[in-house]
Amino acid sequence: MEISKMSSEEHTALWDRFRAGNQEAFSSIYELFAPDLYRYGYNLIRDKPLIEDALQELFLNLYNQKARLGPTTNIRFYLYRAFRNRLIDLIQNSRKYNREVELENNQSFVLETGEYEWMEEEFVDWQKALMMKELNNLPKRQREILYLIYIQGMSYEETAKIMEITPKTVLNGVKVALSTLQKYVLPVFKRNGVMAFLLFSLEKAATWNQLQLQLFS
Amino acid sequence: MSEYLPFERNLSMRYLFYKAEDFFKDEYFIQSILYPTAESESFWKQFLTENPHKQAEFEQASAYIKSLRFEEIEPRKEDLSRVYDNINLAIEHQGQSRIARLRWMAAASVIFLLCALGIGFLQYNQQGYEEYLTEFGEIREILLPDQTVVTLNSNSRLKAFTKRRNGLREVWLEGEAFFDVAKMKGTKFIVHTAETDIEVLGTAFNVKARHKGTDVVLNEGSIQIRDNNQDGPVLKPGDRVYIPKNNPHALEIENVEPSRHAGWKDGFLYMEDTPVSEIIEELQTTYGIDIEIRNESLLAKQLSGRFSTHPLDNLMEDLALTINANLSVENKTFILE
Repeated sequence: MEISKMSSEEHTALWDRFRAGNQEAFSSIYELFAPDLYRYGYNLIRDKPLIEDALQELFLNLYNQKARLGPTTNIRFYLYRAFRNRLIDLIQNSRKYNREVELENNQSFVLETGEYEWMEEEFVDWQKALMMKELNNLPKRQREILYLIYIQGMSYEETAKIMEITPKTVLNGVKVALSTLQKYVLPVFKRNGVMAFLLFSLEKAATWNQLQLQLFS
Repeated sequence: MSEYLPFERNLSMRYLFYKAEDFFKDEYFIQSILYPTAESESFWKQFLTENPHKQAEFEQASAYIKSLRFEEIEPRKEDLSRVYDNINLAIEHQGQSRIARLRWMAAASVIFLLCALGIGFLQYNQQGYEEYLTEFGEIREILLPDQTVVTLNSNSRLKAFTKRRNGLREVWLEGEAFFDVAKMKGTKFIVHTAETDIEVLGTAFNVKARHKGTDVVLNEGSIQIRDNNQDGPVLKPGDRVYIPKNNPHALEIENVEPSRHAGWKDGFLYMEDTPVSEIIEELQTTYGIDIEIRNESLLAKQLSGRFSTHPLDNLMEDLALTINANLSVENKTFILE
């Protein structure tokens, strides 16, 4: 079962079974959500041992608290919020003991190029490189907003609560990204009309990957 | 922000005037691109059939969304399963430790505790204490690392150990809290208040340490009151001891119905011939509401019974009704006359 395909009823049912002490439900929750949390963690901080510690603490705590947990229809949101808090606690604590851990480093939330179906030849590599550069120059928290909304599919409100910011700040982040996209993506559409998006070039893919390696290595 | 339901009747209407940038910002649209469902696919198919002129804006917005990609890693299967095994290992150790704890020597239980808390825990809590605060009207349940559960009443502060020192589990309380202390052989649990120290070996009790003094009510188990390292009385279940601020040596012990004193946990206040003056003081310190009495004779009245504290307006109305007073509100102050 994929998370994205789960209805809120299924979420509720799974959560309730877990709260009632069902071991299988606990392991399902882990299997369903741990990989995404891991990816999110990796975007917050490029430190796998720390991410694994946070995951472990999160699930151990979840297990211990299960009798006290309330009902929820959105496990994913619940876990993201708890996971982010836990990770930040761990980062702050390890900072005190001089482990070289930095939440604010520029390694995190790096936007990358990919093989886009809508792209066509005229959207040349240098344009794409410019777009990526501009997006990657956004403050890290704005990149996190984009990640939560456009990769993880969180709502504005969920994103705001996970990051402990206001929904308005979330919307502003979205608007800033929009203006960059309009600058680079829109002209391609204007020139080529509606059908441009259908073009998909496999030959291009190889070049883009090389470019990405040059840019981010 | 979305104040709409995805399938409300006039949703199509709403999108009629959308440009690419509006689609891009629209939560339902984003969700449909990222996680299409049968419902959303058929919705957009129908929408585009009915409004072919929206096709370009639609595709453009979808291209924007697909442009946003992040450099990610695919978590390795072995990493994920190792973490999962560690979690289960920690859970197992916890279970064992509960049964075994009673039989183990104090020294052994130290090792057990390390396992039970999870490998990462102590490593990251070096300073040894954590502080918890509650606002007016907020009640918070706290799970301490030894599995003790503390319910912290409103407007209270608890400083609690994150690891043991000299074989002690120590907490400091200003305000009111209910403690359900996990039994742990050889490790005393001590609650410090301004007036006294309460020494525990595994039990449930309520402590109220507000400005007038400290009030302790024991539900189960046994506790000992200490005063500057002098042994004080040992309480039995149902005992209530009151230690006044101005004279901490003048302890008063009486027998009460303990669940009533912890009624706040479940959103109730119990009164038993309680003077109105005391109730009002309680409401002011715990819930931070302002109450003005314009008729002094009300203060001497006494009340008995159970009052729900949620919502507070209702409580005030019930109170006014019971003491036969008029209730009004001016500038966020409740006025009784």
